[in-house]
Amino acid sequence: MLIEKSNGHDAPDKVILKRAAQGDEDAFGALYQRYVGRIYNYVYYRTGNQHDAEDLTARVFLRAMRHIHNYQDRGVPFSAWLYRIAHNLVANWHRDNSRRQEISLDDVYVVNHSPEHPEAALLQSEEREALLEVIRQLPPERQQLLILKFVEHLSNAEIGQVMGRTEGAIKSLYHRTLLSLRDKMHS
Amino acid sequence: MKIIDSLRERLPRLQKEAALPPDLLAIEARLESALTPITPRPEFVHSLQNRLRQASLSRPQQTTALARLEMDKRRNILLGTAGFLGVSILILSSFRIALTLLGALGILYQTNQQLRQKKSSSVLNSF
Repeated sequence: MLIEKSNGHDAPDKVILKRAAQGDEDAFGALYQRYVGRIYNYVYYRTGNQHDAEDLTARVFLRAMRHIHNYQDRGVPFSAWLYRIAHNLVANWHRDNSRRQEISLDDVYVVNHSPEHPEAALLQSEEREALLEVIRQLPPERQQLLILKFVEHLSNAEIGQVMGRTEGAIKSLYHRTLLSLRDKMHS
Repeated sequence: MKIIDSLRERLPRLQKEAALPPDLLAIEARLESALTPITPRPEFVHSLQNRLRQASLSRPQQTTALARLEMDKRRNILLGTAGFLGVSILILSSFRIALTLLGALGILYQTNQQLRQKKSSSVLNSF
């Protein structure tokens, strides 16, 4: 399974998790190194700014560390547990910050701005900003699906594991999300 | 061979994707280019790792404090149970003593009655 795979030289998640649950600091450090990027990306696209993404990512891992001894292997990947914590924290964050956060273009677009065509790059950035704004108007589960699919490049089966749904349900949700995006973009 | 196998695995998905209407395919392409992975700042990753390490170091103290609380709780429960049992035994003993006393009084009363009956019957016999 892709989600459970190690970075190459490390042990599988289950082995590290067992050690981390027993209070092994290095084991938790290994899990942190493995998942910090994914959780950061998830939180980043859900919040829309670097500052809150860093703050919430830190909270996710601090909470995970506090409760790692309560973690129970129920056949779902460890990442699903982390995403669940992140999802709850982001939901609280949205509730506390009813105001819409604007994404700084400098923050988001780490794209190849061609210095020869600044207008084209700006236009592209504006298009992306508009698209991200539409995505942020979607229900949280649809945003999560898009992030896992396009940022994390997970398959429908893997997304299903993370979101606690069947592969078929994810396909259906994805199709409905595309339709919803199309309608929002046209309106 | 691996590439062929992976393509074979992805073929049904690609076919289904190809079955999407062109407008949805265009949205998919836009999503693909807009939602790119972001790398967190290395300083942030490093500082958070340090914070986690410090937090994990302070955890044993929290654990001992929790263990102490747990022990206090257990001691209170034990003391409560012992108190309840002591009071119960005291009440039962008092009840039993009262019953014994009543029984003794009953026996004394009965003996007294029997003595009176004997006295009266001996008086009647003498007449």
